[in-house]
Amino acid sequence: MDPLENDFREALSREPAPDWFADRVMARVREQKPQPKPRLGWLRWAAAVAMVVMVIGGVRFDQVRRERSAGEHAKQQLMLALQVTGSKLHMAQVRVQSIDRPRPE
Amino acid sequence: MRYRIVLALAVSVGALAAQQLKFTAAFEKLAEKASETVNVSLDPQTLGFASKFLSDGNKDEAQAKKVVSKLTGIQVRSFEFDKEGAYTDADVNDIRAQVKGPEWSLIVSSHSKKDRETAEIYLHRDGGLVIIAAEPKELTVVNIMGKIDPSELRSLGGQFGVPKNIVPNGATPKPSPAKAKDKDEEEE
Repeated sequence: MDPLENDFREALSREPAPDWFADRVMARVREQKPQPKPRLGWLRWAAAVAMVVMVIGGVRFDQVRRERSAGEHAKQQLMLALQVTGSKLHMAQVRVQSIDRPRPE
Repeated sequence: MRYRIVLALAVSVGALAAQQLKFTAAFEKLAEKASETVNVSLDPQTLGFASKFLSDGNKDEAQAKKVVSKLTGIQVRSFEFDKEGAYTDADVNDIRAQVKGPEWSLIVSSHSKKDRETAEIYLHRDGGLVIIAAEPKELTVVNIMGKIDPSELRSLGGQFGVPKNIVPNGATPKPSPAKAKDKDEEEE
């Protein structure tokens, strides 16, 4: 057998763990305090509430925007109707006044 | 109580219907011949909605808001044509026929043979108003429904082009057309 191969075989041969190994490991485990789990519950709820608020806010904003747009359109229509009414009342008045006015001879 | 509410609703709906002009399909078709058209129809809901957007800070809008609060509808049809003869007397007579009843009073009627212009203002006894303005190349019909009386017309005076004294102080519409301020200008 090659001496190098022999050295490897010896070095890598399986050896049982010493008796104290298991006791030390278990002692170390007992020494360590259990780590508290990160409490992400409230964060999840906050994120969910924020999401709901954003969705409701977005829908409401869109409703208000549409309502304002429709209201402004209705207002423009109303003002246009009043302007047409005014101009035609004015026309009637001018016509009547021109008839009432004595004509130059 | 419920009976009274139903009765009040029926009366108000009836009053609104009595003041509302019905534009025939032939009349509406004039829009096809017109070069410019104004077509406004505002029902009570739209009027109320529009008035919410009228500012109290603006004098004109505040006054309009006050007047509009008593209105139940506005209809405007105005057609401007490139050529004369685009509409016929029949088109105008269809409208006139609807304001012939005793509940309507002709308060102003002006005809100019020279300019071929006609302006007629009718008031309904419950407060509605109809204006018919006919010119060779233009035809306008305004129908205002609700409780607008002469004093409120005066309150609009100076605004939106409404003359300040379109209806003289103290004038109230009488159901007799004979009392209308009817003027016919004759060509010399």
